[in-house]
Amino acid sequence: MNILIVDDSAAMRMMVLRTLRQSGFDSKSVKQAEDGADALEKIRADQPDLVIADWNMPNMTGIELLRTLREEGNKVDFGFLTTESTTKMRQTATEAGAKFLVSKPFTAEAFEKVLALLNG
Amino acid sequence: MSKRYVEPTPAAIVSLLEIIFGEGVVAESVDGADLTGDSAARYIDTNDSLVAVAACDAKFVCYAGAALSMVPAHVADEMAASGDITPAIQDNFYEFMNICSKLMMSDTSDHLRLSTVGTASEVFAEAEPLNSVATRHTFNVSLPGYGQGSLNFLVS
Repeated sequence: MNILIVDDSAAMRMMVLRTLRQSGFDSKSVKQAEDGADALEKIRADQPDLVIADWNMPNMTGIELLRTLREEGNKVDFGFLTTESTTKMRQTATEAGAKFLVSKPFTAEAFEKVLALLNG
Repeated sequence: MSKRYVEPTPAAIVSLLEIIFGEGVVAESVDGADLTGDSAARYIDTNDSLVAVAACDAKFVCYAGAALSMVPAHVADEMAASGDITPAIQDNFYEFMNICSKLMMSDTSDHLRLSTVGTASEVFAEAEPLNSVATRHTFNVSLPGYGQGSLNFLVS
């Protein structure tokens, strides 16, 4: 599975990468983008199987990225990893087509659960 | 007047920070301490009003920022001593402060979010109106492999 991690925090991207490694993913199949606009370019150039994105980012937020992808007809599996996780945000994410919303900070177990759901 | 947000506790700090930094985090309340720090974060409500502040001394800024990227402890100590904190560590500290917003919220509390991070003096000045409605919480927090610093909150 090719995964794109989208977060404006380099440290957070590394934490996600470490967690994915712990969950058995090959780090060679994981790419990174530093905001929604960067991610959009990378997704257009090289379609991943899964996008894991922060919600609040400069240039283009996570929800703007998801909506843009869906407007373009891109059905890539998409999930959020965000500190803010209100009921309204979860509803907005689901309505836009997100498969999951994991709250920061996250555990390897929380990640494994959502990845298992995607694979199931 | 009922509290809008959750008051941080040592147990909550340990629980949250051990998810990020691993086991061995120690947090102790410091009674009666003034709100102090070198860097501070502004937290705002859904109306963009300032509702809480979190502040750290330079040591804790460097320890938290360094630990997030596994930068060696001696580098963090050198940065704290010199005050010359790299942009990468400052970015990490911002993310750490973002995560600390969880310490002031629950499923039943009001919602807040990190707005910006700045010097403690400027943030404290902006937070002056909060003093009549907010409570102070001061903690000494030790991060495994790094050391102890100060983490303080002013919460409405």
